[in-house]
Amino acid sequence: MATTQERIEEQTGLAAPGSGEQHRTLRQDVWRQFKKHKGAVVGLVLLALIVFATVFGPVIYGVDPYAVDTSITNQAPSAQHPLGTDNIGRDVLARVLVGGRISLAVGFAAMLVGVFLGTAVGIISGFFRKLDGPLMRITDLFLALPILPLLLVVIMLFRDSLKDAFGEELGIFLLVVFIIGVTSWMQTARVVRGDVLSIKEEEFVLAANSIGTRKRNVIMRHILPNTLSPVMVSAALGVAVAIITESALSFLGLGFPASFPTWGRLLFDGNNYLQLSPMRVIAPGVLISLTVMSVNYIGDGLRDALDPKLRSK
Amino acid sequence: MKRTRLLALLAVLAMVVAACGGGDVDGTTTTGEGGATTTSVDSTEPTEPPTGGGAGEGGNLLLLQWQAPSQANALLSTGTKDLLASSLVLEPLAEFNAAGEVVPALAAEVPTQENGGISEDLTQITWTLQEGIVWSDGTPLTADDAVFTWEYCSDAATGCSTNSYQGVTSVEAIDDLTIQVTFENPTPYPFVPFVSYINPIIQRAQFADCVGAAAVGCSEQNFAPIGTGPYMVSELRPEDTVLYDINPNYRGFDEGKPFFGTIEIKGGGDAESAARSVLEIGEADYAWNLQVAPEILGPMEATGIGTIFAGFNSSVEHINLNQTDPDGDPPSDYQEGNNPNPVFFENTVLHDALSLAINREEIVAVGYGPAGEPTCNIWPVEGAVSTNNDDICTQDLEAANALLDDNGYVDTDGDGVRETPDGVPLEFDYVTSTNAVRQSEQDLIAVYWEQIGVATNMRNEDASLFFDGTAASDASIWKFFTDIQMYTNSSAGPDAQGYLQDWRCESIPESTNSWGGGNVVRLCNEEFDALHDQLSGTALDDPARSELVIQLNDIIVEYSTIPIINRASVSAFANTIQGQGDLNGWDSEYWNIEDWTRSS
Amino acid sequence: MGRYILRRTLFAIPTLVVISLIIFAILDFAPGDPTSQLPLTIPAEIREAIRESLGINEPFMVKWVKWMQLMFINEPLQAIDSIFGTCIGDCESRARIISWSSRAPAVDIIWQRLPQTLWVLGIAFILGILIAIPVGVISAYKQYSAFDNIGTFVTMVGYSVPVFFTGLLAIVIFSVWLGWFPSFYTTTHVVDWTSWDSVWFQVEQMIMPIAVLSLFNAAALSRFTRSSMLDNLNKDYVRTARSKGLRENRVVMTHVMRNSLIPVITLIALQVPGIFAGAIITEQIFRINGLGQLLIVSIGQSDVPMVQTLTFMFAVLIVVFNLIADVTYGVMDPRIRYD
Repeated sequence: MATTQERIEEQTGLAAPGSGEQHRTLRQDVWRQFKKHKGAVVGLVLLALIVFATVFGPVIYGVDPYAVDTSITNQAPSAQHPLGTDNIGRDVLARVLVGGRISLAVGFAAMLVGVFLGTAVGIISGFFRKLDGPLMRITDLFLALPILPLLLVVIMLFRDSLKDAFGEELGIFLLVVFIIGVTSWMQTARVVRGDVLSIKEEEFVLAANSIGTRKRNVIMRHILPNTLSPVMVSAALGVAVAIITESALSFLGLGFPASFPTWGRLLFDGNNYLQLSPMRVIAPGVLISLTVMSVNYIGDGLRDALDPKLRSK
Repeated sequence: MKRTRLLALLAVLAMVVAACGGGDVDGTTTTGEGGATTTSVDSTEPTEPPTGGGAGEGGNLLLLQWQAPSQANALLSTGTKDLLASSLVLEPLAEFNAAGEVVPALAAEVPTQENGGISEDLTQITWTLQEGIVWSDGTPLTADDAVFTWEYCSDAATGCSTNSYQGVTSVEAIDDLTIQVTFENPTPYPFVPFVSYINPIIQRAQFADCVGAAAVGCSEQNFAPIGTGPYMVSELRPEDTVLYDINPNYRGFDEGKPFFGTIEIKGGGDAESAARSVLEIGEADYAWNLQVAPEILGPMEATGIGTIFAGFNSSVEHINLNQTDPDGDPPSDYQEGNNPNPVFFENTVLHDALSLAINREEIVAVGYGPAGEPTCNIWPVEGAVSTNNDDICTQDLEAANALLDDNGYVDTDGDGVRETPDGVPLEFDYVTSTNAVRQSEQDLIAVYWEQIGVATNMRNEDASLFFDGTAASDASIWKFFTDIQMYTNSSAGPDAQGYLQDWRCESIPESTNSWGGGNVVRLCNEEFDALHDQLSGTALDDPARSELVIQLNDIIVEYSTIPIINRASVSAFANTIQGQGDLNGWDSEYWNIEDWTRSS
Repeated sequence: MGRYILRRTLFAIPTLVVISLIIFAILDFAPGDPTSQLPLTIPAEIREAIRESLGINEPFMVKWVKWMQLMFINEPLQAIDSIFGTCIGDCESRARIISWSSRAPAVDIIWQRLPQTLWVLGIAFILGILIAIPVGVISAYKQYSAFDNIGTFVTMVGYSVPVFFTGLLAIVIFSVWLGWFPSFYTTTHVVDWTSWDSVWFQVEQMIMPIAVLSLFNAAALSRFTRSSMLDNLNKDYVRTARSKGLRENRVVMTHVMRNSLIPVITLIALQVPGIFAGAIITEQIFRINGLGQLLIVSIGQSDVPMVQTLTFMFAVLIVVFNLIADVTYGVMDPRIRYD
């Protein structure tokens, strides 16, 4: 049976006073366990590469992804255009790189919205009994909403007013991020709530309460850091889901408009040219798959690494 | 073990729902709809071809309409897809052939002034039905059915989707075979009511209880109308498939027409996959409305399994230069001419320069292929085509730049954008619907205009908002809250008179009339209105008629409109299909389906 | 248990009412004109007349109440009448929810399409389960072995590659290049179970979509099964069972799997509504004219009643399967007592 001291050490990452042990932070532990998961490490490297490529790639590559040149339409890959050109002469590689920026930005931003909402609801729901009932009913309600149909309709509905208010780029970006975030927080909320309910019963919380710590501080300092594990896993998977959802929406023609080369949009545009210029479809398709796969592997690794039972082996 | 049982239960449940879920496979699709008379055929397998001169021995014909029909009553159609489905069953008095000429269908001959069918004062037209035509249920076709059709559409509550009966004061059955249509005003071109697949004749006995508000509840009738055409509907699944059987009471039956015993119209997917099915895989016999990029269509056709057909009509993709000011208050409001556009109003110089900058051949090559031809006329139909605008039809950037230079449109601040003599920069909002080809066009045109010092802000709106006729959408073409718009317009038939009406002063859409009016570009030209009045009084065979059309066309394209492409409907036929002739761009593409055969 | 079911069922009804209001409100405020697809030559008065005849211009609350009455009273009555052949109330001319595009009752059209969606998606779902569970169990049991690593990789791929991408490639490879399978789905084909040709035709047109979908389903489920098994394999009772001398087979199959499958079954039940959402994309690609395709087409045509009805039906499915999931969980796990 682990002593309170050991448990404090484990969960807060601080060496218990007077223990004399070498300072082993939680972060180091997690990292060490993470490294053991080979897939996760590969995923991390791959994701870093993709992010680097999309952020700096367009600058390094230098070709304008929007330049129309009808004299070089539908060309096969060549030295000048490593992935060929599309049906109005735009360079495919440049578009894929720039498109990655938007796709990844949407993925991360939407994940942030979803995780933030989910964690907030989960913690409040788990901590304050009175709010638990209504919040859980609201969660059920959202879970019961048929997401994709409503997504399609809401996008059609609000696309123009947001375009007018924020300009085309920002407007659509906000809309898609908001929609995906608002429809993906429920799982996180449920998991976090479950976790909070069990953490609330731990002795250190009892200790904190008994010395009169304000509720806000109990949440921020004790509960929240301990729910990080499922939250981080949720976050990792949330990015994957967000990227796929954005691609699916664009693929159905309802995401970003034609002037935005997100990966999903590129797939949509290139769909009919599959036999003529297969690279137009294969490049974004493979990139979506690789990104999502890396993120999933990272999520897997995180889950293993943050699981205290595995770590303490 | 509990979970295995539960799993099994779930599986069985799914199978059970799958097996007995779904509507009846035979007969019509409505369930428990009440006691409306139903005369639809209730078998789905092809019946043995009844004896006749070989009619029906051709087997099944598979037609792909990627926009699937929603129902088969042309008078309630929501788009061409429904009109086509209906045209296999219902017929009009006369129809248009591929050249745009009127040819008789149910009528014995086309009425003219010589044969006395059209009255002297041009207010009456008398049709005579062919003898012996029966409906598919065996009852005879009479003039009374035509009268009923008019009553059906005259009731506003029915929601008839055709305006062909506007201006018709009465339709009378003089006897069983004679129909007299009377117009309010002299109508030199009377071939609108009861002509073409938009205005077929429906049977009084079947639709009697479906007039007015009751029309909506008549899905049995709407899905399987009784007609005089070569086929009958055996099953209709909305947005999916329509199955037809041969009509043994069809008047050509004894001569072996139609050749095919059954027809299947299959919907779903998109234009590219439909084209692929016919041209590359050889799965289907025909595919409709192939709005596909030429570089995809070309290689498909090259496999040699099928051929592309293009049917031209009056469809013209054009650019509208707003004659009112979209920044006025209220925006784009005509206000009796007190809100003119500061740049485009009656500005022939700028109009010509913009037109000269456009390389129409390149746009055709990039976006249309066989489905388009460059044009500079809003009325491109042979017989009344203007040649007066050919000088601004081919790209000549030098001339365009010179024209602007010579007229005071210079770039005073060196930003690459010219200004008008009054100092207004030539920078415009250019909007069209969301569509790959249209966006390519926009990209190209933006580049052309950039080279003459004109900047554009390209936008696209979703088609359902762009063409939204209610007051709800600010993006609609009727509101025209931008400087420049681009879309395709076409006439209902081969005659220009009704079409050109949409450019008269009284047709301007305004906030006061809920934006109801076809004069989207807000052209108001006295000379135009006077000439149009003249056209409305000139008889059909008078050569002055085509002269007037040319003059009217020239006024429209003088400063308000830049026509770009004359668009054709594009369809694909499998090479084994014979007898279809040229593709009909004016009427149903199935207009002569009784003549189609398959070579072995 | 009985009280719990009753309580949840009763709660489901106001949930559905609120959902219907949300759906209805969103769709009602959506711009879009059902007459926008008509040729431009149709003048404004005619368009307005058509809209009037469809009932668009009534105030929002009136429309919602009418729709509620039709959806919650008339349609169920209609369903009972057609299934049992009875005639309750005014069965001849009962008012129903009418689609604007085809002017036919929306529910009939949906009902007619159900088999298409269920055939393909249902089989893909079941196939996915049948593949996922053994794979997940074995992967967990032999953790970090070659089977596990390969299995994890394959399921990762299956889970990460978007369905529309694999679908597109499948069509190009198998329909266009090889010509093995048809590139569209014939919904009117009636399977004659006595005729091999007839059955084979149906199988042929279903193979590609089922393969693509079941790969995706199997991937997601097997990962979850694996982690659930892993959780349980380390528990004390497993050690006890082994030290008691039970055969390994029995330990795993009887004890561990039983407990691991509890959350998995719950997840399966929760995923069922998802198969209808997945329908939307798959049906577009494989040209299966099922519920998903109907939804997309109806949205494009601004056919509001059809979209409302379809969306509401999805919501009903989700609520029902949530309930089934919760009840299953309670039944399977004796530790949970709902009182």
